[in-house]
Amino acid sequence: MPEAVAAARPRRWEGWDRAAPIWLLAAAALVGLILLPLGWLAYMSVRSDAGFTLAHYARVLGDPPLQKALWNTVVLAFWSGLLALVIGAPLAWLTARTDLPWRRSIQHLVMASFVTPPFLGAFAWVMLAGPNAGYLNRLYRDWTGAADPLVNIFSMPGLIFVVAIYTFPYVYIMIANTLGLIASDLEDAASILGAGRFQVARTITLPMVLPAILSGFILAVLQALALFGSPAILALPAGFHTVTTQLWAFFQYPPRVEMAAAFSIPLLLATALLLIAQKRLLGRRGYAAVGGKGGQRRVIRLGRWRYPALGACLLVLGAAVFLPYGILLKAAFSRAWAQPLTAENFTLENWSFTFLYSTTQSAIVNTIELGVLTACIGAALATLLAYVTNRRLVAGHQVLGFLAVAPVVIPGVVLAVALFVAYTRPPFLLYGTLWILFLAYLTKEMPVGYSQSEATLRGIHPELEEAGRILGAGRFRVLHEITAPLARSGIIATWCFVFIGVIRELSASIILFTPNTKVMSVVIFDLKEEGQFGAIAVLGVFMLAMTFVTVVVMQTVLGRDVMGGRQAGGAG
Amino acid sequence: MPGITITGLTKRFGDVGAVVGLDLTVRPGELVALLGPSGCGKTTTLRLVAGFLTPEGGEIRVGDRVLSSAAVVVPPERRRMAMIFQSYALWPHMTVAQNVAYGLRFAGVARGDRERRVDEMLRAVQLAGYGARYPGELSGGQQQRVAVARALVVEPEILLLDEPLSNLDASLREEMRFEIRRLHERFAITTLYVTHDQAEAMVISDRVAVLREGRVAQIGAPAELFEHPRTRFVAEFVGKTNLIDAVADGAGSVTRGTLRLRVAAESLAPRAPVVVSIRPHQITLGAPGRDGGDANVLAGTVVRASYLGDAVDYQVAIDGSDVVLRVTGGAPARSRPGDAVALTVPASACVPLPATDDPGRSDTGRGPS
Amino acid sequence: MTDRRHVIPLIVLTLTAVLSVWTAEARAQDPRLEAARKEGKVVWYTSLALTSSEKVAKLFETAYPGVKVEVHRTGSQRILQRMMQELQANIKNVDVVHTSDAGHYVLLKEKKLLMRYTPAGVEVFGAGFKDKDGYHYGLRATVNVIAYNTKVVSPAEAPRTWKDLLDPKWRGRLVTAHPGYSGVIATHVLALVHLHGWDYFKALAQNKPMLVQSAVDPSGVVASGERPVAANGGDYTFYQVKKKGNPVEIVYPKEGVPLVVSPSAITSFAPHPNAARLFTDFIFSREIQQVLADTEGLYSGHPQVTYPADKPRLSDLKVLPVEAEELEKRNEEIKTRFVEFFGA
Repeated sequence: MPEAVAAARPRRWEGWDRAAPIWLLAAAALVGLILLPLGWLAYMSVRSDAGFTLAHYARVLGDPPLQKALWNTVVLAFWSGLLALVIGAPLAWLTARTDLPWRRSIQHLVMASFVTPPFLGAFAWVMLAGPNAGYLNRLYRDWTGAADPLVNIFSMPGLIFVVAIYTFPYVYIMIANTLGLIASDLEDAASILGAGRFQVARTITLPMVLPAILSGFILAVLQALALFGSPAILALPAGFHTVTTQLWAFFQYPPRVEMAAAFSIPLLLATALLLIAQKRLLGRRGYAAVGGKGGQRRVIRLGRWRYPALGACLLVLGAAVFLPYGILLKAAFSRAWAQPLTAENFTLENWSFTFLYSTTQSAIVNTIELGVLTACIGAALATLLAYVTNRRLVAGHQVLGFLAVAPVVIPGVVLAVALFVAYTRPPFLLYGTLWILFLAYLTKEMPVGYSQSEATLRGIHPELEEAGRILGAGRFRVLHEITAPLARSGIIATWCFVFIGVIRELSASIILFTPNTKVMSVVIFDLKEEGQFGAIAVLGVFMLAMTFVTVVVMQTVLGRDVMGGRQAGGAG
Repeated sequence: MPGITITGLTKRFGDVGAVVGLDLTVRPGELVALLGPSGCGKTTTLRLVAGFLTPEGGEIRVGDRVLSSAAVVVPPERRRMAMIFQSYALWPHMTVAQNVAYGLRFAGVARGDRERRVDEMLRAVQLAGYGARYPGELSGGQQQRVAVARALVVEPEILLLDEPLSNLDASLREEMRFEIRRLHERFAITTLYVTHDQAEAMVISDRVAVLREGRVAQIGAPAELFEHPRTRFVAEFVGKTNLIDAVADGAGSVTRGTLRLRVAAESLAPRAPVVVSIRPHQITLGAPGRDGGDANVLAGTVVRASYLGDAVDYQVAIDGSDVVLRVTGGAPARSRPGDAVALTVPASACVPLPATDDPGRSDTGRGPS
Repeated sequence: MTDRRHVIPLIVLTLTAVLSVWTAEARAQDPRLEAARKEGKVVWYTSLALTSSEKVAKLFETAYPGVKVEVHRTGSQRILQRMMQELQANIKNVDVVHTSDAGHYVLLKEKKLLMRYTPAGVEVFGAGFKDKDGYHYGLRATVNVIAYNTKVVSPAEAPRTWKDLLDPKWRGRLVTAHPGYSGVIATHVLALVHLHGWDYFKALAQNKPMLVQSAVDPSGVVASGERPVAANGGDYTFYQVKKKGNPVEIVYPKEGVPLVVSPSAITSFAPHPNAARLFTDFIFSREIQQVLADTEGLYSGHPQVTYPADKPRLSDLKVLPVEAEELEKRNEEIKTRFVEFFGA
């Protein structure tokens, strides 16, 4: 036999995945973004000149006004979550499974509520339901001659109401998507046995959707916990604090950063626990798994309940969209917002004042700059991360996925405190620049960007990429020629989500801004403190316009409804 | 055209061993099917060969190149292979022609040549003229053929197929089996073919490797597997069979209670527990003819007769025993339930197998060709 | 003789001519203008009402083209907070700082954050408007008053004294601004604590007033009728709103009105010192002080400023002054106790 041919072993470098460094870089960026500020926060909460101490926690948790703030927050979060559930779940069922008239429009209106900044809604509701000058109260008094107002928005119930009408879309989306997965045959089985429409809904559909319902409730509670603008607008005048407004108050001069840090931790723990509970409910897949083969979905006929149901939907959307937008428009064009819009009350002064005000101009520029920058980098980072975790490219990708969504746990105000602590000292002196705001926005919007990217990538079968690789294309070429074109519309959607999130962000901005780095939401908040209703309305309308333009772009690009509608036209 | 040599291949997912010390040799130009139930490791093995997974132990060699080992894995794009996926994985944003031409770019083929080869290949799979269409416009069968064209046009050293027919309906599947066999005979590429459908494996392959719990239970030509299974598992998995637990008596037969059968093996240890496999179609209804020889003759009663159109499936209870044998007879049925019949079972049809299935026994695949 | 129709336009023309000649003179005489133009802008942190601040800024930019005014308006307490936060991060942004909390300037002077500068012509100002060391001067003054909506409350029912506000009939009908935001209100609180003690505010809180932040805000609340009576607020804001035609009336309580003199100073680290000085001279000039008095309803330290007929003169009112040092010392206490009583 001739000499045995030595087996040709591959050289070490041949086997290396050349893409590895990129993934590691993205992972490192994520870790730095989230763990660094949180680390500082934890450190600050136990730091003192004498070394490690729990005194801050003792003071914060033992102080009665602070305890009250904590309690108020719990009450607010729970009730608004419940109300959001009560509104969102039936609405989702009605639009997803029944023959409710004007379903499409209702979906669009829910989307409008979703993108409306809650603080703007709170402000509009001040004009609608302030106990004396509020539009609705005056109408009520005119009609009934009563002395007392119908509603006083400056109260806990008022705050709960306003928070709920802007967080119910989270519940809605979660449930509508789940309902879209349930095949009708499961419900048909019940109908054949004699169950009426509502019995079917109650006994068959409801249990299957229960995980999604609970999960949506938790999401709404999480949102409510983190809100700053609405409590600042409605609670402070009524004389009570929530944790977020209290944290903001800690930053008045002299800033008590250690107290703020210590006070943030309970909030952080609460949100973390809620998030864990939510993950458990949904299982590893992240969406409610339901039985059945997910086949045809037949529409449930409402019969004589059609128009009452429509009425109820319109009532909800009236509260969230029609009334607030209406009063904002009116105030934008009125000299005196509380007076009726007569010819003599009509004015364009508010517009000229607002836009000629130098602070407004720079704020608009800042907002757009930050929005575009954060959206571009955020979409890229989110897509990269979603790719790494979805295709399981590195060991510990689960940790990465967890970190990408972790910021959901951090309320905006807390994040701002953490960033303030981390970046107001050398070597990273970012306070006073737009960069600290950029970091705050990037961190805050990462979860939503990541979820959207994750969903996009899940829709691209890994075999499409494997087919390219086995035919000779390297990993990056595959990303570029196969994945990216297929993911393009999803990436644009991610961009839009992040952009919208940034332009309406308030709770972190209110702590991190300086007079030179104001953004639109901060200007609106400032104007509120001056009582400049006209200017607020103008800016609010402008912000909404920007948002809606982005939404339209997004829906055109995606070719489908973002609110749980199914994809029109298959992908081959 | 190189062959594939897999030695001691091991891959775990968490605590679960998907592939455990698997040995397999695919000769140059041969088509070997990896057959087995779900979870047996066939797809994992295929993906290890493709380079999508990194093994924990063992080695995969193509020709004399080591492509995968625990230390180093050559990435898929440099393995000179092609793969046809269960979902076809046609790129929806590219035309059929672009799909097929994709791999040619990395093979250093000039543009003009590329078009020519694409056209040739489309003609070979009977999709001439479909080049400008998009995958979304094609039927399932047509998409599958585009996938085949895309894989073959790059003239790979190794071809991998992952249950490519399972998304087609029954009649199309049968047709495509023959198509694939025909293409294999034409191009003669070393091929690994994963399937859970035993009939498919029999039609398509040169040899079939039956996998169980991460190891090769038996490898051989289809006939070999069918007529001479070596374990209970293989006997049951490949085709229908009767299995009778019995005890060897050391003299070329086995006993179960009062039943005594002459079997196809001589050297069985006395009192060794065995299970005897008898294929239903090798049992004849009626007394043996002149060349009965040493065939077993059993008396029984028909329990059930199911008319299948081209055959009749009988269940016959053997007198004086608890054994019920399944028998395939010709149509139309000659016996009805309740009839007393005689069954003739040649000794060669009674294949004794080890009573316990030890999945640890792995066949290295170098059996008689 | 000229026709009567032409008199008014003629007066306006003359005034404009005089003004432009005067400013031209001022411009010609001002060598600092070149230096200021090179700096390009002056950054002004001001607690003066937004519209007023913007107006002053525009007037300056017209008089001194080439030098921009960057107006950053927010409540006095916020201004201090911003400044200190920026300094902590080593950001030197503000040139001229103007708040309504005299205590701030005690603090800032102590920390050596102010530049010693005497605006031209300020010698004639009243004593209460001048820092003896020359670091800051009172740009404007206002008094805290009660105000009510005439459509909802008749003059007979209206409160006449600070103590009247404690009457339970005003429960749910009051609005108060916040000392945690506004210097005007911080001064007011301290003055009333001197007058009636902290029990006053404890009792006021029982009437559950609406809480707003800025001393400017109550005027809007009362004008809209949201709450018919303001328990405090700068009189100039109510005056402005009343002049616009809103149904608002001012009450100068008999016990006295807390006087708030709002100082202005240049920072020691001002990035645009020449522009800052130019601007400071401008805002303390008689012309601008007159503008502040005429259109904004403010009081000025300049003795030659004339006031509209329907506004009481400072000398006619019983003013309650507050010591700047005490304001600074008790600042924390004021804010904490207010929150303690009013909840937020």
